[in-house]
Amino acid sequence: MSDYKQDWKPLATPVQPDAPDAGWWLSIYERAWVSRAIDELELTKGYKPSRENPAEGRLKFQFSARGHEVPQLIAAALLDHPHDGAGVYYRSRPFMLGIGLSPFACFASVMHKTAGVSGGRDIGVVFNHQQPGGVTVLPASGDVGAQYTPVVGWAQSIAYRTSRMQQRDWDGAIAMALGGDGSTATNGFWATLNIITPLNYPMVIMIEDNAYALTVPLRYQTSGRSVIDNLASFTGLNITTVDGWQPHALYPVLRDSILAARDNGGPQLVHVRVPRLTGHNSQDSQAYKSKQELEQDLARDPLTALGKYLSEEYSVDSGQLSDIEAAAREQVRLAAEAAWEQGGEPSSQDATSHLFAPPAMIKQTEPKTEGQRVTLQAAIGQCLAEEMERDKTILVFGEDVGRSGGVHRVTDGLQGRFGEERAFDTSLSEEGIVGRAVGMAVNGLRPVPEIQFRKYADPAHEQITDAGTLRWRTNGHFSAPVVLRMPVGYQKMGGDPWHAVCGEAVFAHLPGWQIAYPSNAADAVGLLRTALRGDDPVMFLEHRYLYEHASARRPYPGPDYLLPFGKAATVRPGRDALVITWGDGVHRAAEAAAILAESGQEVEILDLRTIVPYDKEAVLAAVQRIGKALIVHEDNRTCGFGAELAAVIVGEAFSYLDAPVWRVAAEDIPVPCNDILFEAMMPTTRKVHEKLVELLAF
Amino acid sequence: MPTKLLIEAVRETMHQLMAKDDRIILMGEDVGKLGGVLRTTDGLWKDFGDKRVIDTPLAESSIVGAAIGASFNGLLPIVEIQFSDFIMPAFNEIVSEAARIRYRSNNDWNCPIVIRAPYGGGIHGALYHSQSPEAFFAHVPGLKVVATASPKDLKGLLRTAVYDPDPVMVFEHKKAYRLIKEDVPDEEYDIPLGKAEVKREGDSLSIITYGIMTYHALTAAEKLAADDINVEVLDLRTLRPLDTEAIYATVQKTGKVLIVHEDNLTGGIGGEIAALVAQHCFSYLDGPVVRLCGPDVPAMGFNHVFEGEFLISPERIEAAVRKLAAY
Ligand SMILES: Cc1ncc(C[n+]2csc(CCOP(=O)(O)OP(=O)(O)O)c2C)c(N)n1
Repeated sequence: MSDYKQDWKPLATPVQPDAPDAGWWLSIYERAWVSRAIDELELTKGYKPSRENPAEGRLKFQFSARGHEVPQLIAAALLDHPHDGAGVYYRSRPFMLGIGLSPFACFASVMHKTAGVSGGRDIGVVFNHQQPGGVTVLPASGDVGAQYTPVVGWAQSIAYRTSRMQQRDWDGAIAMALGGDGSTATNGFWATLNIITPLNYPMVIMIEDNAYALTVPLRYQTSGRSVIDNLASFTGLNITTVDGWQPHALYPVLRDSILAARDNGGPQLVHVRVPRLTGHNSQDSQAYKSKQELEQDLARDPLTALGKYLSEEYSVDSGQLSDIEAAAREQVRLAAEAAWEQGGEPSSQDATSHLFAPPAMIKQTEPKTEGQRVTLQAAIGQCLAEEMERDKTILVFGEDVGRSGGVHRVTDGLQGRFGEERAFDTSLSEEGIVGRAVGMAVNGLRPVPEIQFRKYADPAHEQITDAGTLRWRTNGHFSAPVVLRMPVGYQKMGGDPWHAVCGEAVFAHLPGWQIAYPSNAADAVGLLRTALRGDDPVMFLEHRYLYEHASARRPYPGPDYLLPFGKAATVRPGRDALVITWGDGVHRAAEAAAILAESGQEVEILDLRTIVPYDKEAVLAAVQRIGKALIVHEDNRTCGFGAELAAVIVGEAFSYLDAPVWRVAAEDIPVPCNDILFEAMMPTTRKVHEKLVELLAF
Repeated sequence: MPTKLLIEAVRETMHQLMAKDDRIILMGEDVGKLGGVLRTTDGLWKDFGDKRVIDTPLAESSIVGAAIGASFNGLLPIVEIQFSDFIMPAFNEIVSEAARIRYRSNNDWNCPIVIRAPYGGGIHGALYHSQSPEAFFAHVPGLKVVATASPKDLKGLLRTAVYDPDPVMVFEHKKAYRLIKEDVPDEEYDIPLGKAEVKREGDSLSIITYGIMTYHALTAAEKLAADDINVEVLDLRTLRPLDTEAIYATVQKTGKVLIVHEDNLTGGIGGEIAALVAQHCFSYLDGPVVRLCGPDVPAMGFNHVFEGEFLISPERIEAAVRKLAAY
């Protein structure tokens, strides 16, 4: 017990799974007491969060798991496969202690120390962990229900590695998600059930039902007695309900469910009833529970029940049990002191680190500029095929992406060539698509999901946000290099509110995502390949009008062509005015510039190519040289990315400006379907031209 | 006139409005018996019952979706999102449904809902309890967005929002709940959406801001006045629509602008303000438009060092003003 950082082992599975011996049960009991002692210590003076006097407590928040310990620890002990993955929530600390996270690390986390699981960034119970040789705990989320779909991605990765990649060491691995009863109302939970059941993934969900979501009782969450009864008719899901305070029943249920999932028995849901012995957090006094309920909770304490079970069934004497409790308390006290003293404080520079991977060494290579011109759509498809050939971990999926080759035909032929496991159709849940991609990326695969149209990324906004923050919130321990492709903008026949959204500005405001927005086939290939070899999540935005249009066609730049992010292209040099734009805007600007060139006015066009990061240096240099800048984009004007650029220009190149910075952008309305309305909304060539005339005359 | 904390203003305004108008209902997680995790709805359940103060399942998309439907049916729902960080699951319902129904139905339908959400940091909330997501919504046509820390303004704005025929997001600064106290009239009153307020007059330089930063700016302004730097503080109050008239007026008056917000810099509302100023007040500018905003990281970290690094203090505002004033 000398070194709190090292001296902590994961729980083991029983040597005799059919009849665990007293020693094994004692290991559960012991660890449950460690968890309980942590929870209790955290509420003593000196540790307890104090609103009135924050300096008084070492903690700022306390989430207790009292009442939830035993089922979590049994589950942890049974996750003994080195490739098991788990998704947890804020009440999962006992589970974390069980899989090998030390009390020292737990305390360092809640005391927001460098040695904590997020290096002091997150609240200390939002976990992530890679146990050497053991379970991977996927980066948890503070959003209830957001833990589920990434776990699906882990389960799918197991299936992929065993069947397609023939990685025998992955045989028998499972994914396990822990969640509360309240979380069964979330979209993430339902998306999960709809994915894992038809596909028979090796996944176990454990719902810890304490009958409350914060203060809201069960009857507001679901009809009937329990959230789970209503799932009884769900095909392909094996459901078992058990009481957490009945250890003799609890263990076999968890064992059988986990073994069934390992043994190709498909998805399992274990519904464990537990009492929540403390409030939701330390500020919650449970005033909304009746006296009777509180008494019943106490009478059902699974830890007490386990002690009783040990003495009745295994004749463990009460002296030994109280010694265990006392030892746990002492161990915890020492770990808490050690974490406070030795946990380490971050420096203020650490606040901004680990948002992105360290700058990649990707060097620009020369594109082939000869040969037949290919469409943007075909170029992306070809690049995907080449990269899938090179890298077996790349998987392409989404709605209609597999068999039919996608509604935009970009993935046409990929399923025929690479099989259904690598190019597949998904259920209609964008949250499910993005969430599972995150789990796959964390697992080490290279998911390339497609969102059918930009608008339909909005239902996945929560998962998208979490994917962006994942590296940062795990202090750089994890990354999720998902390449999320989606078509944006109008098409040949015009637009409408659902299919013609651009929406890059919303993404640009989300920390952690890189954004590519190519204007032609060659750039698209170079950027996509770079994205697929990088280590950050990337939004890959493909303009629908440019998919086939001649102006975006280029000779295929070659199977090795790489284009780094953050390098703008001067697609037309000029000295009289500057247009900064991207995507389809490049072509609108080019048309306007061509008209002006006839009267001898030279407009320079800068194509950003990537929005995050964008080439700030090139923007500022061009503004300084030319002095007049117009920004053109197809996303709505207000708070569009053009606003950001204008702000940077007027903030950092102010003294070089000879004219106001103007923007030609889509009007602040949804995209209309009628052509006249559509024209009125869009940043058309005519509007770009008119504004340039005005700017040139300024 | 009684002085009130922001939290009291929120609670009492809802109470006052609900007492008079049966169409107003309140929905959200823990808003009922508990009275809200931050106690913003305390007492409402007792006085108005569980048909009007409704504890919902834990599913933000369903809460907002149901409110949208109820508003079509003639009710005036107020939705509370427990923390603005948890608004993400409802993103689609807000931006695709609530925001667009009037436009896409050619004015046949409208959606008079209010979505209230506590936002902002300074309470050790770390990643999931301190975000400022207002800029996402300020970008969306069809939404109106309020953000405030002022008890007096909140009262008038919330009333206007409830009776506004379109969806209004009301972001309340959660650190301000128990920090900012102001005189708040007892009687009901409206503050129009899209009207900023000059909270302090000055002629050296303008600070354009909103939420709790308004108060930090005022603190900084007091100190700067001693050195003859007279700062004008414009509190936007509404982020969409923006009060461009007031923005241009202050810029034309002082010629120098500092924009301050807690939300991340890149893509924040400050970019839009700077762009508008660059576009419409170019010839009045005597210096660059400067933004002092949250850094581009997901949120403030839990550790106090991280929180301190993220948050904008009166001292940092003061320093930025001095630098710009010297330009
Ligand atoms: C998306 C989302 N909405 C709201 C919250 C605030 N919140 C945190 S925990 C919780 C209740 C969760 O209840 P349950 O899933 O039953 O788990 P328990 O806390 O009972 O273990 C709520 C509403 C959140 N974290 N995420």
